[in-house]
Amino acid sequence: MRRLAYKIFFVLISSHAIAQQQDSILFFMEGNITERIIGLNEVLVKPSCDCVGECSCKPTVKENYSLNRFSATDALLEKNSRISLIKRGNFAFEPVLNGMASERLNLTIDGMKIFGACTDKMDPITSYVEPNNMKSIAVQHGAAGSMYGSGIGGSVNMETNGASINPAKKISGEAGMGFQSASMGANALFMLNYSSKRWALMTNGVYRKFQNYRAGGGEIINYTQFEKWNGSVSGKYMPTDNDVLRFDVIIDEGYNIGYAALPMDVLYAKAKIFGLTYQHLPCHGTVEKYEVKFYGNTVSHSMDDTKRPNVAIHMDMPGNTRTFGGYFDTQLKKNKHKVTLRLDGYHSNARAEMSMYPVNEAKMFMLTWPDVDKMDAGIFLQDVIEISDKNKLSINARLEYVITQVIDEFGVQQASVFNQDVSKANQRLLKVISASYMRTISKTVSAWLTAGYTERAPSLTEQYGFYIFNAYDGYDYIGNVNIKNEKATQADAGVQWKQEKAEIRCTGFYYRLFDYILGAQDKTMDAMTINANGVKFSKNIPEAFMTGGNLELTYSPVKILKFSSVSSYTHGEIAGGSPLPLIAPFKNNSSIKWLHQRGFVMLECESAAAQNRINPEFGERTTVDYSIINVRAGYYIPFGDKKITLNAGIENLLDKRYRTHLTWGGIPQQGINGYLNVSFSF
Amino acid sequence: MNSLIKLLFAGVILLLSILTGCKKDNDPDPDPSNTEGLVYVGQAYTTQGSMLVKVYAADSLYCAYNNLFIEVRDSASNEVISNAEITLLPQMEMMGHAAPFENPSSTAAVNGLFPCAVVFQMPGDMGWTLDVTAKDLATNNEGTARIDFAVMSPTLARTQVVTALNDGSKLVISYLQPIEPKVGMNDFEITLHWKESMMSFPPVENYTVEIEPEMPSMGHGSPNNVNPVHTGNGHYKGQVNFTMTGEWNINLRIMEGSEAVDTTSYFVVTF
Repeated sequence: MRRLAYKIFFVLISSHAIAQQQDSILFFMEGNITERIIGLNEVLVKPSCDCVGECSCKPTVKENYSLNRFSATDALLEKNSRISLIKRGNFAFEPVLNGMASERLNLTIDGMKIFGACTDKMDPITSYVEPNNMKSIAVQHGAAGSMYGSGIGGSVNMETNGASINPAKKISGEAGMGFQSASMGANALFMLNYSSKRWALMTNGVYRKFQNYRAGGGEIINYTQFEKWNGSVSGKYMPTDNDVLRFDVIIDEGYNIGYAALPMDVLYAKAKIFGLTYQHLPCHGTVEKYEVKFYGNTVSHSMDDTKRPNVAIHMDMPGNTRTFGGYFDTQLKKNKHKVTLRLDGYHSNARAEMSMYPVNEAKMFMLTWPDVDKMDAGIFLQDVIEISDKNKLSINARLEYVITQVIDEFGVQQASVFNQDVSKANQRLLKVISASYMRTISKTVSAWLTAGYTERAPSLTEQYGFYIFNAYDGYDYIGNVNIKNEKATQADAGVQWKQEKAEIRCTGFYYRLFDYILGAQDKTMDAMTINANGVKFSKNIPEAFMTGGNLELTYSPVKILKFSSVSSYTHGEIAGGSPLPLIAPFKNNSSIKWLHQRGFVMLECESAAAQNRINPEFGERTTVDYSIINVRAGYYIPFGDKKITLNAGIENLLDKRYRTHLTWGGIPQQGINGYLNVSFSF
Repeated sequence: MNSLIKLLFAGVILLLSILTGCKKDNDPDPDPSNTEGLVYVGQAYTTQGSMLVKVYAADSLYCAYNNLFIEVRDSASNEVISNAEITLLPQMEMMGHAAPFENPSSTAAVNGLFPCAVVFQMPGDMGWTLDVTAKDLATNNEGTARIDFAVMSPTLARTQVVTALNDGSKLVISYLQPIEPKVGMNDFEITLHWKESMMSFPPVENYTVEIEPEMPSMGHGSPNNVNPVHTGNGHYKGQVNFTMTGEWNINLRIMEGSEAVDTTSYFVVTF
């Protein structure tokens, strides 16, 4: 069945030559990245998957998501059933994996550490990379994701395409335009790849401009507009068949981004990302591969309240992060062992200012992130042991050393307000270990179990934040330099039944978190922000729990018909019973897809149950259940080896007014939305 | 940003020194060794005892608490007298009132100068005089010199005269510190004097003072302030915290036992 699906996709997707290339231009060529990964990545790039347990090489959700050529990265992330999105506007949603948001995750682009420059988490780094430059999104859970850093919830690594060496096709590319009705959004993209025998250059770009969107029922949601462009240049040179030298430059700039749920919008959000990679791929011997990478990036972000009515005091809040680092990776294979070793390190600086301009009074100034340097070095070791054909074991371990230091004297003085001494460097050692065991029980059934222990250092805000206003609960947050590391013991298990026409997969996870970092109100403190409810300090909660699971069903009674259903549930609780805030309710996405040689039609239903398990201390409110229906279709017209692809669809067909639980500020989601995308590829 | 603030600050100081420098007579006999950094106020010969009294100040004279430094010389030998009993009498003769002051705490000069202080509770281009009575302890020579000068009004009020809520007496509240406020913890100091008569303003030593900093445009305060307590001679010292730069009001609440003396005064700090 799988093979058949691939065939269909090949036909559907491309008429290009395939298979002889390790990385192929084909990735660029079509629609939904999710499907590209399933359809092609697996076959061409990762012929065999080494994952022990739930596969992280590909998203867990499969072909049942339609082709929408202009999906944002967020939308693709959400297709992973364990990921939910925190929405504050219509842009740059913050991913939540296994109920845990970005401070508990490792978010990386090509393994590069990049840190958002907004103190209010308005720019998760997922917003700085675009799907048309993305090859895969690798999601790993809990301690198993420690290759990319120490975290609790896991890691999300977004791998970019880069240039493709394909001597058979010197010039290839794509140009496309798209339109969507709910926010009068216009999208444009292009990609151009030039390949010689030994080297290739690729450039691509995306431009998006969206107005305020129309919610279900007709209300226009103010401050949901945005404009952005993203451009990248990538080059690849292969002096020999075994050596690859690659560079990547990604520039992303967003302007005038509305954040309806927050008291301020964004004037600009800019990222410049540079990477240089050398890869050596020996054909035989013990060393399978090694890779050296150096990278650097800057992110700048500035908020803007000039478009808001009744602003008590005009303010701006520019923030900047600068990061550079590198890693060395090697993969060794001997007998039944496949060992991966990674040495990584980076240096990062973050500084965020807040200036307020009262009428007829002196300007007020403070540092919300007091110019903090962070140095981080880690070592990661993985051994995948093929015990037998049917038994696989993987052991991961990571040791990471983190030093943070406030470098601006102003920041040191500021912290003295709360009797905190931040003049000295703060040092932390983080330990992560996990083991996964996978067993093929029968021809159709396999099961896996992961157990792990992991730690994370507090985030910059949790450690050094100074009066950072959280619009969700209405409190000013202040860091605690001496807060303890958060720790977790964790288990992840799954069972899969796979047969020619159907597949069922069931996974579950459990996290027991110690010294869980959360804001706790100090009633003796005065809020800084006008109308704020008070002040919260970062605090270690002795214990918290997070558990959940998901169920995925796929059924294809005939080749051209596919039914799919994905359900997920997460439960979070502070020891003692009160719920952890911002936990998504039970969700289900189901679809029926009819596949034709040159296209498809699909009917999709997204539902979520009500969420009544809330924590009012965090300003959380209940959410009612909803279901929305989407219809999508795609078709392509070939011209020799070129083709025109059309995608169209109607999302929220019944114009339902609804709100996802993780949306801030009670803002309803987009109403009925028609889209039409046209792209020409050559 | 930091350097910008420094630059601005330097600019302000420069401007101030130009503005005030123009108004002052130059010291006819500058002795840079011990008066460096001080502002020359004026000099006069004593009516008796053949002494020359020179008055210097830490800054230009303002309607505020002013640190003064007095030099006394033997007018015949021009030798600096460093052991003397100095008493002050600042007054506005025309108006018939004096001002709170602090005589030198010791008869020994520090580096040839006798440190003392005067609180001018009102500004004036003319009319303020300072009578300095010096008694040379070596010779028992005694005499009084009168120096006149102008007292300027500071940009931000630094001395306030209020009517006590409990007994209707006049209370002179003066702001001493922080002079160079910064974000974080700052030493805070005020003095309290009360008007016993037109000519007598003794220090108040038994009041309790509470402070509450506030940003007027934001309405918020700051945590971990230390209320000033009396440390001697009418001085009350505590600590004030500023969470950010900008304009702050330091609100005062002055009590005599359980009776409120003043609950509405405040000093403005801008940085």
